[in-house]
Amino acid sequence: MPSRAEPVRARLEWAARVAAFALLAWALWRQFTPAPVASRVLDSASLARTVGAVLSADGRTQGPTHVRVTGAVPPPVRDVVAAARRAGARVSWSGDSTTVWAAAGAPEREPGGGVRVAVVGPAARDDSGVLADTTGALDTLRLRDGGAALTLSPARGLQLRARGAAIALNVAPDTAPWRALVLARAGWEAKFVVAALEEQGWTVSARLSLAPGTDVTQGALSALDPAALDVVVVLDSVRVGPETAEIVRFVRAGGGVVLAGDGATRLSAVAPAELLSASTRAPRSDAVVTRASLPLRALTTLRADAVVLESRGPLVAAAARSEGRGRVILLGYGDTWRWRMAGGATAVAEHRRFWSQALAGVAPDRAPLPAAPEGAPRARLVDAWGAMSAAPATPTDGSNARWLWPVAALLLVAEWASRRTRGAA
Amino acid sequence: MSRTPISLFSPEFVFATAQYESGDWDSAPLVPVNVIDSVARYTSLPVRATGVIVPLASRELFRYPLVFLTGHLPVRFTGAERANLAEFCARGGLLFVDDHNHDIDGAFHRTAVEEIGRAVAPLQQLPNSHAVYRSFFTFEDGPPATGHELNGWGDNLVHTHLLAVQRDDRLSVLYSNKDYSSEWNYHPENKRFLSVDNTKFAVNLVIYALTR
Repeated sequence: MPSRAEPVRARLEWAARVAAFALLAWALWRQFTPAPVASRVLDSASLARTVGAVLSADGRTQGPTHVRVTGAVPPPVRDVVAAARRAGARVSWSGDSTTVWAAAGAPEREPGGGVRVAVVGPAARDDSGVLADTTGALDTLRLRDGGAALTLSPARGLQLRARGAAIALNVAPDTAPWRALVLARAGWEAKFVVAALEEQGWTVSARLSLAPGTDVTQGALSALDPAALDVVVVLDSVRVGPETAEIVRFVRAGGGVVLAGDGATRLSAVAPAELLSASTRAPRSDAVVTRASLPLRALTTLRADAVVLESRGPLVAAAARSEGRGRVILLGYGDTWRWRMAGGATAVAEHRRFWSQALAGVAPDRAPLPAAPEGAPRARLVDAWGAMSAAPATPTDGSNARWLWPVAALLLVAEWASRRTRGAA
Repeated sequence: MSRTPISLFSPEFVFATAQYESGDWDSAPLVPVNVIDSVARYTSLPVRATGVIVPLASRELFRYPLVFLTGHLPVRFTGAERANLAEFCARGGLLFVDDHNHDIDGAFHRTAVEEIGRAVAPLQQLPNSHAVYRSFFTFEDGPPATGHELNGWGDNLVHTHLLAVQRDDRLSVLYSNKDYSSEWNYHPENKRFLSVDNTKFAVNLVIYALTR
């Protein structure tokens, strides 16, 4: 009588036989079926030499290619691969294009101003680049938390070098004259504001009131037109009565206006705020005057669109706003000439910078230079090669299925041995 | 915040006379009031009715960007005066020096020129086309002659030019040996006896200092 285990044994033998034949059939099918073509994986660092794997010399596209980008891709090589993609080649890519994703520079809006360079990169990585011009390296720019900015004075051919990439920044300091007109009552403040601006490189004309109908003029007085004048400085309201409407038109057309003292009273239509009628106490006569000790008429009733630029404790000392295409800044400081005359050792230079920067804050932008073609290398790469994709898995071929034969043989031997020993127990 | 009802900008021009250790700095006491009178007479600029005397060695000097200095006697600045004067000029102040002797080789002239050279820079002849001769009234021939020059007193010369130290196209020191100290040293009430006001050049000087 057959044991109770016999049917189970028979089913196992049958299963082993079926599995062995199935494996053999699959191995035979793999053997005689052509394997899919695997992606070639190229490294961007050597892509200039290996680009022929993407596009052959006679212009025919090759098989699928994956580029592992580990640095900057030279623009000519990038363009060859882009052309191959448009011709039908299957090219994917992954990795970092460069340390720097985009860089741009703009000239500062004041005489002798340099170029401000701003750089954007991956947020998660700190890195650095070197800013250089035709004379050599100028400064190191450290990328932190995805961004960095630096002001410098390049000669020509400013470029950012990072991880082997050289990003050309089509920018140079603006050497055209910056023109300002000062309108004020004759006095020490007007004299020293004009002096500070001239010493800082501004081309200054002035109309200073001495008596009703009597002015002292300096320089070539041009019309209030942004094409001929960059900034109007109004130190008090004495002089601006007849010109209020012109100044409003000037700023709305794109000019800059700096208001100080009661220069704001007649120009309330464009001023960012009003001034309190009382001021803080003037410094003692024997004290070294600092900017913080200058008399201040705090700004009050700020407009909704006014931006506070400086405060002294709870008091607003300076604010600005846009009006039309131009900008207006209101300063609450008075008698800044005392800072220059009776300040510390660096007061003269600080006084110059203070006024020059006030004007630079509202001066109009000059005609922009054409953008640098390689200012955003990562964006250019995405534009040329499409979005980044995952790196392909390691390609397989028939050799990886060699385990099929011993497994199939083992199954057959086990099935045969089981049948031969059936009933022996 | 302590608040005082002061103007944001200094409302008044204050005429300052330099006081120095050597010599007779106060030899022309009526010049300030006469100049103040003329500025008030010809312009609407607010002017303090009385002038101030400011020690050349004090920090007070830097409150008055235009300072008048005169005397008859030899001038020897102290170290502090010399340093203060150099800094005053470097910051943009203007020192107007007048030789009260109206002569070309007097003690004041020789010593003052030497001291200015040591403290600031050597004096140079100022062209008669300079802006100071056109800042308010026009003086086609340069500095107006004084009565002492025309009467042949002192060195018996009419000095045709002033001397100056200029910095960045601005006057730092203006030096005269025409004796304006004598010319302007009278009570302003007496201007009515003059056919031509002889203090007009003082107005030019003040306006130049305030505007340039």
